[in-house]
Amino acid sequence: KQWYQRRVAITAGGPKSSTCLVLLSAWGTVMLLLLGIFFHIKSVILLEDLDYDQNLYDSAATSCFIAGGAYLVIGLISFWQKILNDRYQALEPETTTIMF
Amino acid sequence: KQWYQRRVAITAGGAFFQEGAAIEREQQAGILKYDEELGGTARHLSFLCGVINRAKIPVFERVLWRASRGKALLRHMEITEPLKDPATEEEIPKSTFIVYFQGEQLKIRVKKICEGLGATTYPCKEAYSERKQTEMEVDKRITELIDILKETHNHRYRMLDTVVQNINSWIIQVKKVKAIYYTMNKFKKTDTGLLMAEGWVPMSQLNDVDIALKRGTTSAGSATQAILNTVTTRRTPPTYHKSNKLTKGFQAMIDAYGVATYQEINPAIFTIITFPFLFGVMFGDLGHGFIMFLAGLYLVLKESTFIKKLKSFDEISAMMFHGRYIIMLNGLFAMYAGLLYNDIFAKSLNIFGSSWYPDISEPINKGIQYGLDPKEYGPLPSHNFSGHPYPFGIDPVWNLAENKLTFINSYKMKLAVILGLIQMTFGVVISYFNYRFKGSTLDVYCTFIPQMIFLQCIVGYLAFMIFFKWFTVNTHTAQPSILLCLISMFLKFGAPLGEDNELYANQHIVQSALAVMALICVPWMMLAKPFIERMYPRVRQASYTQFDNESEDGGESDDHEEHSMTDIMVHQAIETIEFTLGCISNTASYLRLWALSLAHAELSEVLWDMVMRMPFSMGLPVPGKAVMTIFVFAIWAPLTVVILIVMEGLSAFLHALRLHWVEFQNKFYKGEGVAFLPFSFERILNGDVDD
Repeated sequence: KQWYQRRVAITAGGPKSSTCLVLLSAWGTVMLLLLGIFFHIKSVILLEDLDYDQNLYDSAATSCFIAGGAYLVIGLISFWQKILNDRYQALEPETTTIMF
Repeated sequence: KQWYQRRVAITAGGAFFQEGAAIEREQQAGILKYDEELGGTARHLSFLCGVINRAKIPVFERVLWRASRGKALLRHMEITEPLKDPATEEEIPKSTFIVYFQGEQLKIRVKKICEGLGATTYPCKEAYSERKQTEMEVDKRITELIDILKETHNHRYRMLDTVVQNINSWIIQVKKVKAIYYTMNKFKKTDTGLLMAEGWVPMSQLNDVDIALKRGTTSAGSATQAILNTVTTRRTPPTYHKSNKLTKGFQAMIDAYGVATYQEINPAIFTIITFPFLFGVMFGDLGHGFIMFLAGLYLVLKESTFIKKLKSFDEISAMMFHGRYIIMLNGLFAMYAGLLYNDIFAKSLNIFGSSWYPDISEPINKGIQYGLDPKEYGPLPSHNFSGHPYPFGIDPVWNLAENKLTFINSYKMKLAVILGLIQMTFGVVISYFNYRFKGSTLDVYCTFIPQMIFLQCIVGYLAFMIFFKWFTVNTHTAQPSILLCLISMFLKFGAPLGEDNELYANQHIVQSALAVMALICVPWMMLAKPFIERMYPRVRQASYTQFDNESEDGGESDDHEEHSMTDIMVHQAIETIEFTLGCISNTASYLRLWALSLAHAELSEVLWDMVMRMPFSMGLPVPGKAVMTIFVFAIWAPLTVVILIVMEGLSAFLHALRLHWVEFQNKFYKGEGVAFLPFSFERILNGDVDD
């Protein structure tokens, strides 16, 4: 029972939200990294996203890399939370279900 | 159940005693008052006290007044605590009453009235001390009864608790035994005291059944062997398609529309690839397809863990799990279509180097438009068009083009018609193989051939014109419209099209010939088969017997009912009209391949433009841009999943399924079969089959 009390304090969310956050962060890391690379090589397709201003390429690239890094950090944190959640979930007693 | 009855009885007793106590407490005052009113009459008054439903008091009063001719006195008081009726657990408002009367006769009458109105009477002593004593006794009984009730309650819970451990296995046992007996009831008892049953067995497994029977007889320790005999019958067997975990989902999709007639070609086999392909054409985004593929892949790789937990899934999750291979293949083909459409999250990839290059004399600025002219082509920086088309997929330059939709719509529509023609022709060809298997040459010559000619003369010619226009360079200033050509094929029959309207020389002659061929096919389809059947009745057998689905057919099976000539003609006319009109309408129906992919592309583009573009198009400094990107992505990603993957995915799934069920299958599928469902504990326990 001590574990339960501790659990409330340590993990920020339940199993579902930590899984969602892990997936979102993984997607965000990969996608923003690639987007950053495409901004960096000044891909023409992205020109209309910059409102047709060529000078904005580099700042867009930098901000994408920063955001990608942020998602990497968030991903690692929520992955750690997920591991904690799984550990505590294993201690919960099984409830019997009646199937009809 | 015993416990429950006992508890009910005890509760009732408790209720009544409670009523008694209430009377005791509240009638004391009444009796005292009445004693005062009476003063010193010498006559002996008897009384009766009890409890009655509050609603019945007016009736009680009235009846008592009439019956006693005013000589009985009724006093009543409401019971403030609500009392529960033990049977229904409803709370019924009740009142206590006391009736004063003289004489035995009146007493009997009053008693009868009380009984009639459902009032319960209780003995009540006149003297105060005796009443006090009974009141204390009643209170004591009440507390005892409450304790007893609590005890029985706890006991009942403890019993149920122990039952809970076993109830699952009991239910399984009951289901199994019930199923066994239900099936055994289908056996017939012969005069010699044997049980006999008739059933269907797949021929490939006759041996296995034999071995199983022998095993059963030895384990039951019976002396007589169980005998398995094959019996010839004219009845149509049920349809049995062996499926593995990959094909099961697709087979289920086809069976949902109709189980294949016995020995008809099973469309599920082709569906394994054509369904994801059409899904991909309608979904068509590399990014979304990749996410869908990953989802399907996860379900497939973890299937062993999920199978164990399958019973605890709700219906939607269970359905998604059963369709895991479908989802995975859909995602894969959507990725392929995404590469072809060159669309990843509404952006295009420039993998091979675009074939177009604008003539940039001034620096790129907002508001400048570049027109790229393909007519003079050559090496890229100096020309607009390199002369070689983009090797795989649509050129990425189209993503930035203003007339992107004009080009892409035309391309996708033509693609849809071509794919539709291919699938419909394939369907007609399958019908040929079905006829050949039946041995029905009549159908081949009178149904398959005219259908094929009709389809190819009209829709096939349309596809031909599409390819012709794609492959030839037209030097005229105005490009001929294919649709106008097709329409003038019938409406302006035989008239020359004019230089600007024709794709190739003498087009009007070719078109007229095709139109004539198509029109000849219509009476051919409608009349040939009935007339030949009439003249040579024996020919009819081959086309009807193999696939008729008569059950319980005792006598003749060569020829069931007598078809009158009008019946056959009407039937054939309906089939002909269905096919000919279907050619046009089904081809148009395939345009949904274009419509859905357009909708998907546009939704995807709008989502990117409205949401994901925000951080980059505003003039923020880098830190602000980075923070905004983080938040905007957290909004854009879930929206993509919910709208573009889940909603559009379901939509594309549904439309691809419809294309298979209707446009593909109405060319050949009868679907009048019955599924082969052998006795299986697993299926019964899963609730798949009615037990």
